[in-house]
Amino acid sequence: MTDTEIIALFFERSEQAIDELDKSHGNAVAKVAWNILGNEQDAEECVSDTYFGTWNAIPPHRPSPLRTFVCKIARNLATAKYHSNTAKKRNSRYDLVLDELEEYLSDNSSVEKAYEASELAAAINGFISTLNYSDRFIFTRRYWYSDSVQDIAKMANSTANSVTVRLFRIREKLRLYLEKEGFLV
Amino acid sequence: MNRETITLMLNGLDDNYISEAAVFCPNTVQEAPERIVQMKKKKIIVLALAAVLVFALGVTAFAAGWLAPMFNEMKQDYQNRLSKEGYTSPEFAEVEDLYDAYYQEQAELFENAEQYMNEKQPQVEKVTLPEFDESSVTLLERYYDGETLLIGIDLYESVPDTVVGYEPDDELMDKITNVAFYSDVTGNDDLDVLLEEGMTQEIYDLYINNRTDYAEEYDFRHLSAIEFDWWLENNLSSEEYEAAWKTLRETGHLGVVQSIVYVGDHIKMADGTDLGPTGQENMDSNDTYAHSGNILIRASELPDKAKNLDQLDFVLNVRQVRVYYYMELGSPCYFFLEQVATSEVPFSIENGA
Repeated sequence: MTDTEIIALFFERSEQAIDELDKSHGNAVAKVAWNILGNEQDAEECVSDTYFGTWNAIPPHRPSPLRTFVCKIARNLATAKYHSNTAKKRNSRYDLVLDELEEYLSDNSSVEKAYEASELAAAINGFISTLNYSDRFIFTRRYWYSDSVQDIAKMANSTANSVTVRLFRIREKLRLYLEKEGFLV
Repeated sequence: MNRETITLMLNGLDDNYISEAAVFCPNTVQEAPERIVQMKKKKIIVLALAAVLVFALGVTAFAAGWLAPMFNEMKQDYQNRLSKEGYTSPEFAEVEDLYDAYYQEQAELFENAEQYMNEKQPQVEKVTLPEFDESSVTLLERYYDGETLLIGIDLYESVPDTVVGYEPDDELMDKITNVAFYSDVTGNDDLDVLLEEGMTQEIYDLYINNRTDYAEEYDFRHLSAIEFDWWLENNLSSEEYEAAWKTLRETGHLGVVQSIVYVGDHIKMADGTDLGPTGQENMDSNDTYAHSGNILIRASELPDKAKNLDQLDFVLNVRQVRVYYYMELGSPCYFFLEQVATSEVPFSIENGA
């Protein structure tokens, strides 16, 4: 079933919409949830919450592409749950991703500044627009999709060593960009 | 910046970048040349001989059985994934559970496709490409059930051999030496300089300790040179790699020209209707990205116009990109990339459902 047909089912408030959404995009959603949360139970719960969130969002939205829309909902829910699990032992790929970035984006300020979401969105999109396609791909797969370096290397027809080095360079560039934009002291 | 802030920042990534990263498929000439052609020369020879023998006997390739095993391998892979065969880590098997419905669907699709080809035995179709020096693209496996399109394309014949020991003229040399191997390194990519500029010791050691024996013997310290040497080792046969190093030692420099022929990810009908997102898999390795060789293309989100037809007519956009590498001993490695040919190739497939 095409995305257009699935969205039409949502507009008709047909429960078949969720089944069709799951068939077409369930695997991508599950992978996003799993990569961030690292355990099956939390990931499954996140997938269910994602479908519920999608049901509430469509209508009025008519997202295109639909996959990106539901993956974003999944990611938002998963990262919220990730950060709320402060007492739980974390063991997900997302831990590694945040470790990598936190190391590079630490600054000299003793007080964590509060930013508007729109400011941060402008920053990350401004930064990623400066990258070429391959770097954008590697950056997005690592830090948004939370894929492993090995998986990214396979997808990008590269070696794990090369991807590791590229990520290092990209993080350097990100740090310099955020310093220039005033996000880091 | 703490972890919550980092998360908030990443969550703001624009939809276009998220969608763009769904599949690695660079199709502009500005892309860095890290798509590697798998030149399975021995396999090419075996398949070509089989095809000649088959046609000489007046029997279709399907009846000879050399096409069906490729599909069967794909089908078997999905069945193995369903049964979790080969998973030594329970954690990994649990992740695969989440994909069971997808694997079931794909296993059935491939089973139907294989049955169709065994029953109908469609002829292998070879199309000569004048724009590609008269080389050809071959349509092998094909299946259309009204909802999904599967096509197996052989591009091996259309890919010129990689040339090792190429000597660029002055004009080309000017273009090549503008950019280093990694497109963002236009300054000094000496590892010691990079270390002073902030490269971590870990990354520095990764490069130094993983140099090939030759790179270590000649004490390669330029990042691009080490990367290029890794690329040579991965992509040439051992004889070709030795020959490359012989040239490098004797002349002090090495030029390489690699051709990449691939099918653009937008497949269209004759009237220009896009058949939707496509996935491409190398029949030799099951990796999912666009590249040369023997590839399986899958279009599973066909637009309404392309669905449930008695016959689907479509056009493949085949492109050739040429990548030039050049390195002198003791210096960085440079590259230059240009599109050299493009060809629209029409095919038709009857509905096999």
